[in-house]
Amino acid sequence: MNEQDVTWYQNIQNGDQRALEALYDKYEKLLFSFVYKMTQNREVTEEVVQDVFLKIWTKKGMYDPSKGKFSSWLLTISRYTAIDFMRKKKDSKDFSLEERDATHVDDTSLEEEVEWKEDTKQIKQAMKQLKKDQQKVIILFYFKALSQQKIADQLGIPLGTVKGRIRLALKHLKEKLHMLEEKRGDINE
Amino acid sequence: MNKQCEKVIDYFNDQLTEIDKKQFEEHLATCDACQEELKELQELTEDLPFISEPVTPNEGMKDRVLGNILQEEQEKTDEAATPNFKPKPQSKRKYQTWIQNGLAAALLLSLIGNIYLLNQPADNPDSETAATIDEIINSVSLEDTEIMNAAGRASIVQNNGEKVLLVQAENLQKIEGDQAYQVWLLEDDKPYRAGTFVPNQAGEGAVAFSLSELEKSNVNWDTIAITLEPSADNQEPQGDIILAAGIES
Repeated sequence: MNEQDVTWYQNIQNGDQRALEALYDKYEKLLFSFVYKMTQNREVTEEVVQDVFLKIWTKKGMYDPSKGKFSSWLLTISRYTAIDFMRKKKDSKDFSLEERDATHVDDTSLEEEVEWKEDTKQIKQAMKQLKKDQQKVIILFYFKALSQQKIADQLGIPLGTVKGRIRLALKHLKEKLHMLEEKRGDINE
Repeated sequence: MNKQCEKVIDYFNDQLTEIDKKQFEEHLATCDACQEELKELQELTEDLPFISEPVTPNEGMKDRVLGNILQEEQEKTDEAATPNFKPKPQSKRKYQTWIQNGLAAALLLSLIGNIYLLNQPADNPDSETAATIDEIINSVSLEDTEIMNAAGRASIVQNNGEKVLLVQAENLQKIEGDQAYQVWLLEDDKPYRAGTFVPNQAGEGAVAFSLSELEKSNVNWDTIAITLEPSADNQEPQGDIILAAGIES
């Protein structure tokens, strides 16, 4: 699947609009869901997704296939674009943890979309196995992209311990994920 | 353990000020521990986006997004071909200047693969100014009122997609106390602040104001006005209008 992405990306670099559309179709829902989880705002999410694809279309040579999977790169770019928009709209809303508009979540699932099928199932399971406070650390750090100080404030812990908490939570998550993958015994990579 | 090493998390989350970020990047270039930590954070978080609950994208989003992207491309081509600049139709897209921090980007890209903050704020003029050209989109002379015999001009200048409002005025009366001249853009009668200035000894004043925030909020201003305000931080105009003109967004 990565080769397909890379081919599209290269064609986009040569001004191929159909490749842009194909890439868009493939990733629209994943990016929308991811950015929405960060921003909790549909309008901002659309702006972010548009900005990401505008970069892909107009900025040449941003992605280097030798440095890793296209999808990982795309998600990283999307995250930083979202952080940037969230900073600019910080007055618009305090992105709270539990707040979630159920009507916005649809009943199909990312699992039905192409290749992130297995990723999705297992990471969700792994996340569920974490303690609540570790889940919270991950949300505040990764999805809300808060500063260390704000994370410390929200969790009521000393500033100096934030980094350790984050790493511990992430490492636990990774361990759980590995265990699930081993159980399935179908690691492809 | 250097004090800079404590900034890894804030760097990863792009929460440092420009100055702190530069300092950290200088430090990062020579700190194996921080390089290692960033790489680890990247690896540990790469699956996390997949936790997101599926959300159906906005209705009609694909057409808007791709339409806006391709439209901008088209406009760029048109602009290159015709020297007479036409005002852009209002588009939902808000341009930003993204500048890749040459050295730092190259460093990070080589260190930790393809993660890098591509969204640098526009206040890093060094790397791109040489290749961009300012263009006047709109320019109007400002009409004085009975209050004082002032004169001025307002222009909207576009540089690499970012629009800046430039205002110059002369024959301005001296200010007293906390007074300041305030520029407003009006949408119907709703005022939006667009810069503050105090005149020099010769009664001249000028303002450069980035329009990106107003554009982002979809403000369709139709009038520019300059008032003399009792203090520099009035959120609503209270003083008399000194200069005004119609100006398109």
